[in-house]
Amino acid sequence: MAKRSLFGLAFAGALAAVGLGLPATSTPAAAADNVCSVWVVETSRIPHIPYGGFMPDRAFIPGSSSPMHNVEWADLPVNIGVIKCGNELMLYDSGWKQADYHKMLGVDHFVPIADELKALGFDAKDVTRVFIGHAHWDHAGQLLDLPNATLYVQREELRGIEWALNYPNAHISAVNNTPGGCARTPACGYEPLTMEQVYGKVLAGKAVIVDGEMEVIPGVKIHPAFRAHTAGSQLLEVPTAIGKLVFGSDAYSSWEGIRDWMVANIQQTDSVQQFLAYEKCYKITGGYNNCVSAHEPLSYTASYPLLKNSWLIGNGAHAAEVTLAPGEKSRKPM
Amino acid sequence: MRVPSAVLVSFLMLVAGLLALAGYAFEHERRVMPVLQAAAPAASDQAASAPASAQAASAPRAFTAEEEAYSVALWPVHRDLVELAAAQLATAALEYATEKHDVTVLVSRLQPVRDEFAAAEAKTRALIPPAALQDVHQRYLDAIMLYEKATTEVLRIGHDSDDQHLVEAQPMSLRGAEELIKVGDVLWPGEHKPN
Repeated sequence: MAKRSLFGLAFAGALAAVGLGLPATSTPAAAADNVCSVWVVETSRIPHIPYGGFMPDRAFIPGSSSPMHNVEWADLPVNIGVIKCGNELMLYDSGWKQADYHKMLGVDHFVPIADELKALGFDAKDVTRVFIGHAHWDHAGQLLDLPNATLYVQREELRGIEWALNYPNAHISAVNNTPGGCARTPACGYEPLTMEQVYGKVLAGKAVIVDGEMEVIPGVKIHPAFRAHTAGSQLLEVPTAIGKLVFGSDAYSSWEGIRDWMVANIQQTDSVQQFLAYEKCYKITGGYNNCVSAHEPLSYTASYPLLKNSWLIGNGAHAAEVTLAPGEKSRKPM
Repeated sequence: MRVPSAVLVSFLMLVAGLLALAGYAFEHERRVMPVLQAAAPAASDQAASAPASAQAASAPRAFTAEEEAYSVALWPVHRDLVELAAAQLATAALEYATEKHDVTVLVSRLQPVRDEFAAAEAKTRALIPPAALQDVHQRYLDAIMLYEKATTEVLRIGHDSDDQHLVEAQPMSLRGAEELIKVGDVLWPGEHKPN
């Protein structure tokens, strides 16, 4: 059989981006005034997480009246950013799908991303790009439900996974070391189905392997946040009418953590790098209010002002209309 | 005492209505409680918001001792061989596709992966599942064999350097991954925790 290489064909997009430091696809202009519309949707909610497990500096102390230590449990939403810049419909993180994990005990508010987009008046087929803040299964799932979206993932993330899985010590390489989950092993969270979906995007020529910073379309920029949650975490800067936003996935697990300079969700985190990721948001946006958190318990309440303009979109899950570009219609039901 | 039927029916309808209202109120409170707790996290409210009822409602039935023994016996195979090898297959192919496209490296990475799947198949076949888990057992074996076939297909690149083998193999490994989740969901529910 003659040698056939797909790399000149199917992988051309990914390799072009890798080799030249440019996005794989053409670079269309953002909205005319260069601002985007943004919504955030709750793809699920994970209840009853011990607060000290989420934020060690805020561990519950029985009898304490301090707001830093008087909350025993956190109910954590899993948030996805929906970003519309001109004709580009993009996602930051892709959540996970209940159908793949039927008995995820105690988890509630599931809504598939396709249904959430439909509730906003969008079609999953129209998503052009999906940026994953990191490749853990609860943030990088549902990729096959976004058939036309190009995946953006950091090369450092893929290398980190490869390193962890091949480390010659089961305590390091374990994808899953107990039936109750793998906690903080370096390979924890990268289960096979997620890896297959990421690989499927690459194989289909629908992936951009990013090396560090990248401006994807005018004003929409990827910033590396290596080891701020995982080896190759990445942030996304988005220009809007209310100023720049920065999405942080699990590098920004807690908005209060960014505000108060406290680490959160330290799965595979270097706490110094997480603080530097926080600082990046302060530098880009001028403060902490426009930092978009993946798991902030205050999401969809007035206590997290960015996401306060919220409503229920099904199965108890929330959506928030964060900001609209000029001429963009509201997706919030009247 | 004999109660007139019309009065009895009215009374029962009233009771049914009250029960329905109570059920609706409970469900409503259960849904809004997480947000309320987050917005106003008073310590005294925390116990009330703990969703133990939700967890209990979705908990699978308890295994029999025989089923539990099978689940425990298969767990090390799943943990040490199958899950690791499955992820390694995907990431080795990813590395090949996104890094140096080195066939030699790919083959050297996948030969041990194929051995791990073969060992997993042998160990799984050596287990005798209880009747209620016979189907799960077979599905787990099928998933392993899909992975073995996928790995063998990718390894053919070592003979002819044809990248089309990746395309042929990926649907098999994807199906294997989906099956692993579904079977794991029965045997080790909640094995993957959100990260």
